[in-house]
Amino acid sequence: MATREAGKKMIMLKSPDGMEFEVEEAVAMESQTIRKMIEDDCADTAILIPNINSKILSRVIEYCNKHVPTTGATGAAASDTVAPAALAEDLKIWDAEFIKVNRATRFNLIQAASYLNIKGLLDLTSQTTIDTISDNSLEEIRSFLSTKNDYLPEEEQTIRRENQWAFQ
Amino acid sequence: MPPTTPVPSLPEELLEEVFLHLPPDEPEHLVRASLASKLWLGLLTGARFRGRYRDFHGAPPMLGFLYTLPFLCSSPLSTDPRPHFLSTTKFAARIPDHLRGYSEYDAQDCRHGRVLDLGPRILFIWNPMTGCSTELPPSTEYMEAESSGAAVLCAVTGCDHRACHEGPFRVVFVYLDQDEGEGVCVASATVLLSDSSKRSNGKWCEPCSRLDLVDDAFIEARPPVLVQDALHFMLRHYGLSSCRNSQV
Repeated sequence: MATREAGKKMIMLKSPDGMEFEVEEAVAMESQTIRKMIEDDCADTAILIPNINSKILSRVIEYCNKHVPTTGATGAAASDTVAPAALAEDLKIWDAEFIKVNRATRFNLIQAASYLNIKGLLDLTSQTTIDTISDNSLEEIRSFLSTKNDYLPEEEQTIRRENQWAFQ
Repeated sequence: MPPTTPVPSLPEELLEEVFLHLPPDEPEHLVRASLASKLWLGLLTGARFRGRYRDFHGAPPMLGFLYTLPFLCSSPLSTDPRPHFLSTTKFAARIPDHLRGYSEYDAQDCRHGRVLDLGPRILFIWNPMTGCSTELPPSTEYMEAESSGAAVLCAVTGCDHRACHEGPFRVVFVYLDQDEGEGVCVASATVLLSDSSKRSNGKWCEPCSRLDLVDDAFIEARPPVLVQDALHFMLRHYGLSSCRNSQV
C-alpha cells in the first residue's frame, strides 16, 4: 500500500479482513498501543490489529500520517518555512474535513482511536460527537447515540422540574 | 467488530470517553445528557466518570457565589429567598423548600460542596446541587458570642472531595467573649462531627482550651482558609491589624 522510502523503518499493519498496510514506524507509533508493542519488542515485521476493519484502519493511518511530527520529508505542510501557527491551522482545517463521515464510521473511529490509544484522534472524534449532540433536542441525542429512554413520564417531568435551569 | 452495524452505538466505556468532552463550564449539558436514559444517568453520576471528568478538565469551574448582605440592608435583593446564590453560569442552586420566602439566612462558610447557613436560632448545612439540608444542633456559645467565625469541611481523612458531599462533615466554630474580671478577650473553639449513622445530626464537642487575647479583639467576617489540615481565621483588634491562626 505505502511506498517504502529509503532509510525509514517500515511496519506492516494487518486488518482482520486480510488487508495489509505498510507504514513508517514513526506513523504507526502515533498509536501508543503500537508504540508500546514496538518498544517492548513484541512487534514482528507485521502487526495484526484486531477489531478494526481495513476501511477504518486506512482512515486511522491517514490521520496518523497527517499528524506525525514531520521531519521535512512528507507532505506539503512539512516545510520548515511554514510557521507553527499556520501548520496548526492547516491541521485544524484538515481535521474538520477528515471527520466529515457518517455516524457508523465516526463510532468505528472512536473505537479504533481508543483501542490504538491515539489521543488526538480520540479527542477529535469525541469532541465532534459532543458538538453534534450539544445543540440537539433530547430525542435527537437519544437517537444519535442509540440510548433508550427508560424514564417513566412522571420521572422525567420531576427531573425537568427540579432542574429547570438546564432545559431553558 | 463487523464493517457496519445496523444501529451504530458505542459501548459504555467509549460513551464515557465522549462525555468527558462535555464542557464543565456549561453544566446544563451534563444534566440534559443524564435525562437521556437511566443508563447514562448512572454513568455520568458514577464515581469512575466523575473522577475521570475532574482529571480531564482539572479544577472545576466556578458555578456561582454566595453573598451576604449587610445587616438591615434595604436592597431590593433582600426579598430573594436566602441563602443568596448568584450564579455565574446557567446553573441555579436548589433552594430547600423550607427556606423559600425567607430572607434571614446568611451563608457563614462554604467548602467541599456544602454551605453552612445561619438563620434565626437555626444552623444548617445546605447542598446547593441537591437542595438537601441538614439542621444542626444549636450552639448557644456561638450564637451568643460577641464575635465569631465558622467553617464547614469534609470529615474524611485523605478525601479528594470529588464526591464527598453526602459524607460525614465537620463544623468548626471559633468565638470570642469578654472576660470582664480579667479585662481580656477569650477565644474558644468547638467542633461538631456529623453522625454517619444518621441517627442524629451529630453533637458539639467540649470547647477546646481557651486563648486569652487583647480585650478589643474580634474575628473578621471573612471565610476562614483551610491550609492542609489547619483552619485559619482572621483575628483583628483596633489600632493594629494582625492575623492569628486558629488551628483545629
